[in-house]
Amino acid sequence: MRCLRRFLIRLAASATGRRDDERLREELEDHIAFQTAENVRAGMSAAEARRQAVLDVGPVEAIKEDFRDEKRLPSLEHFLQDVRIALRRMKQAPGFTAAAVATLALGLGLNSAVLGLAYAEFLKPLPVDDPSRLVNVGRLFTGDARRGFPISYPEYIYYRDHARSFAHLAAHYSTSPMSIITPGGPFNVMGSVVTADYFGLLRLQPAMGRFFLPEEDAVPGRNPVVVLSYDLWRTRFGADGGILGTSVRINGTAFTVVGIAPEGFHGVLMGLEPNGVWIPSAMFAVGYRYCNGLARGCNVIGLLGRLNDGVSIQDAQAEMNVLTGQLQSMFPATDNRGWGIELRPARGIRIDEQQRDAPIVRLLAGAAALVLIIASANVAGLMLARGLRRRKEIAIRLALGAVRGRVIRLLLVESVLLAVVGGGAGFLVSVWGTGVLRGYFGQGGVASTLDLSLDLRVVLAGIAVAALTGVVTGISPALQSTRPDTMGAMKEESAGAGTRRSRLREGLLVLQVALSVLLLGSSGLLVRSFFLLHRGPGFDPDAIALVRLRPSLVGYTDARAWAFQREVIQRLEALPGIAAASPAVVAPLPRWGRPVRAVRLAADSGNPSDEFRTATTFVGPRYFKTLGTGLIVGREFDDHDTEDGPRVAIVNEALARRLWPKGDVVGSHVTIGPERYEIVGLVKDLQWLSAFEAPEPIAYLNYWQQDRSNSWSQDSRTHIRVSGAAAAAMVPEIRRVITEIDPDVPVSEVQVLGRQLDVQFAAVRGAGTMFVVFGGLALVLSAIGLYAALAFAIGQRTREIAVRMALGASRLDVGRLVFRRGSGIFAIGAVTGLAACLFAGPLLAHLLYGVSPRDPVALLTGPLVLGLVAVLAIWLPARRAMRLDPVAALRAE
Amino acid sequence: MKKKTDVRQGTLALMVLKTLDVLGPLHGYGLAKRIEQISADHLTLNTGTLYPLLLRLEQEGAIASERGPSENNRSARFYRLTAVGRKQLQAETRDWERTAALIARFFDVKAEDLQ
Repeated sequence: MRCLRRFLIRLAASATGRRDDERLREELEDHIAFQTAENVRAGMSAAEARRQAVLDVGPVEAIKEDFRDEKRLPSLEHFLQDVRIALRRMKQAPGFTAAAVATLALGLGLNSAVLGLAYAEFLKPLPVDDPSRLVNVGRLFTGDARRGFPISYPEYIYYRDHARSFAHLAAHYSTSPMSIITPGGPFNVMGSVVTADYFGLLRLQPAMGRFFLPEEDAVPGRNPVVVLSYDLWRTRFGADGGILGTSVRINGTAFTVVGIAPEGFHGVLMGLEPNGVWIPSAMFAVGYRYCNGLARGCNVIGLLGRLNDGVSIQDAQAEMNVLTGQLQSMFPATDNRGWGIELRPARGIRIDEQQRDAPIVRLLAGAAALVLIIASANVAGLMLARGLRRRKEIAIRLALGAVRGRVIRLLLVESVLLAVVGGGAGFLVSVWGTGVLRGYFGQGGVASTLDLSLDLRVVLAGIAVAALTGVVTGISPALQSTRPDTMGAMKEESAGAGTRRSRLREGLLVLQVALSVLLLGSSGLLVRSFFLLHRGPGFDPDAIALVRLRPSLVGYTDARAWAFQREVIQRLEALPGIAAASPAVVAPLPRWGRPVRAVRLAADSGNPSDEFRTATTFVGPRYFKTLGTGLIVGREFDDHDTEDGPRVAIVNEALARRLWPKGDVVGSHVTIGPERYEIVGLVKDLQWLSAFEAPEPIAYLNYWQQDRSNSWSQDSRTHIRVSGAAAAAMVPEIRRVITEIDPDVPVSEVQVLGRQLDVQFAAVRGAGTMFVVFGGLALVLSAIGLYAALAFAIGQRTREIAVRMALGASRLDVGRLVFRRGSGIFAIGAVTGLAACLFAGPLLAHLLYGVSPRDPVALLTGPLVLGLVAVLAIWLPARRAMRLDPVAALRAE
Repeated sequence: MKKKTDVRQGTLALMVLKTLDVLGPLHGYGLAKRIEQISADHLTLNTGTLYPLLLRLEQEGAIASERGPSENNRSARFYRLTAVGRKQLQAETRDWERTAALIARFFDVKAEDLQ
């Protein structure tokens, strides 16, 4: 504390120092005057009297300086002096400053954008009071380390009643589609089913009304009460002050509004659709129906805990492990072995999504770091070149007695200042970069709670990176240019080729070229993969809209659910602008809709080898017309294929090749499970699982001939083909038609199929876009670096070249000299970079679709472009050298 | 020339305060002469020590200063003791007397006293 106080006093003294100096000077003047008068009285001559007085007092400046050092912060003052000098120098060389700042701004800006993304995804705490004590509790599969899986309500109760590590332990199911009837009509929103202590755990205060009482969460189905989000209340209920106590219908059940959540609170799952509605867990059936959310074995809830003071997460983990062991021995049938329970700090987005995104963000961070290294190498090269030009100035400083450390510090202050200014300018770049990233990682256009807004910690980290960059960039030029060779420098000898200095510069260039090739090669892979992906499905995904209906959530009987589905399809097909609509249990998205079941299938050939497991899925009439792929031969399912009629199937080419190599598919029969099916049609292979896996044999069965008691199939996806205009324009109309039939049925995932594809491949697209930006930047930077270095080297070697020419070297010889040097640097860099690509490729493999990580076309395209640009960057200075007039050049020396 | 002693570290402040306490407001030069006089010319003051000390004491609030005409009609800065300075003087005087007494006992001690 004392130390700090002294520091502050000294700091203040530094600020007011000039007054003290003035005062001391004045006092010493007075003293000398008095002494002089005294000496005169003692009989000295006036001049001698003053001389003696001055001698008596001693060196005035030294006194002032001592006082200053004692009272203030000399290092700070020296530093400020350095900053002033550096600023002056920056102003003197605006071209250099602008180039360096712009280069560093790009490098630093992209880094802070990626840093911001990483922070939001993995580290950002929940926006509630004291979030550091919050932990997520999830199931961890010990076999393959998949984590963050939900558990069941009875397990939660056991943990809650027995664990002593937590001040609160709350359960929530936060991804419940809800249709809420608002004054403006039915509105679909993501709801959350929570236990009564959820809000208390988060230490939230309602904006209005109250949160749930414990007794409201005690008896299943007894208390239909709801808390609305501030946003929902404001936008859909007109911020109605009298809403408390009124009734709203959610998924067909009437709820009483008891409170409004505080502004800015959107639930505990960041990065997903924001929660607009909370209902108590006793009302679980309104939010989830595929199994009884309160029953053992129905694993749908997530746990959130607030640790007691003084309890570490490890302590809590140990306790939960014991409780989990007890649960497993009590209920071996449902609460199986093979999994454990895992506590993790509640930070960032949902853990499974963190696991999904982590490798991509790591890649982006790596690429951004490479760009920063390239930018730094570039600026370091510029500074080295400038250092050569400044040799004389620096030599004079050294000759006048400046300590080398002090000169190095001055040069470092310059580079750090450049970097910090660059970091400031980089802020603009990062705003742009963040916008791009948000487009890809924020659920692709769906409202998302992924908060990428600027965070103080991210800003501080960015400043630290900038300062570090400054030091790294400046250190070797500073050491180089202050090497004590004073005499040579003052004579201003031009540096010849082959000195250590130019070797360092060339090394930096090789590094730049190598890293650029690495980035360009990697982005080539991602871009190619991305284009293949878009060609993948074999139909136009932008002409198809998808709707997922959830009649099971409002408790429809299976008969009623089916009638509802049929009516929706009928009404949609009657709409102008809609070509066809057809239900299916899954969407034709790569990796998303796994065909439902694999069953044994036998052809009528009687050959046992024709019996094998195949995938089946259920699709409705006119499904292939809806997709726009059509049939090769035969017919689609139609309205004559009734629920009780003869079983029919359509097969794809992969299955047909396997079973009927000679053709004659249509009219043949297969047995699937207990039933015998007639093949009525043959379709092309659709890319189901991944756009690039070998097509899998699939049998399409009739949607209306499946077992309708299965609630999964009640909640099917309806595919709608829009004719003419883009499907996106029809989405509101589609919604309207469905809610007209029953406003209570939640309609989720209403989207254009193309958009869903985009979301599914957001990571690839985001990474691809960023890599293209990074690669392009790397290309430009290393081309500029190459050009600047060669141009500078030629400037330095003017005399040598002139002498060569005077001695008879042809212009071509001179051109060759420059070219050989430039292309040598490029070649070494390019080969190193390509070798690095071969090592780095496998790191990208999980993002690649249909491209080998060693794909030559993808790997070489970028580097070839770089090569062309490099030729230009070498040619320009070479031409300058060739045009050199030896006579003029030698005279100028 | 007779041998002169340098001022012991930390004691100059005490001398300054005491001199101002006894003689009232003085300017820097006068203060220096008075201190040398009181020490019967055993001390010689370094101006490089005195003026920074005055400035520091003023910044600490122990003394205050204002410009005024001196005896030979020059303008000079006069220093005077403040209430804070007086308190500081008393405290330091006590400390000093205690230390002196303590040291004196050590000088007086004889082997038989400790038997």
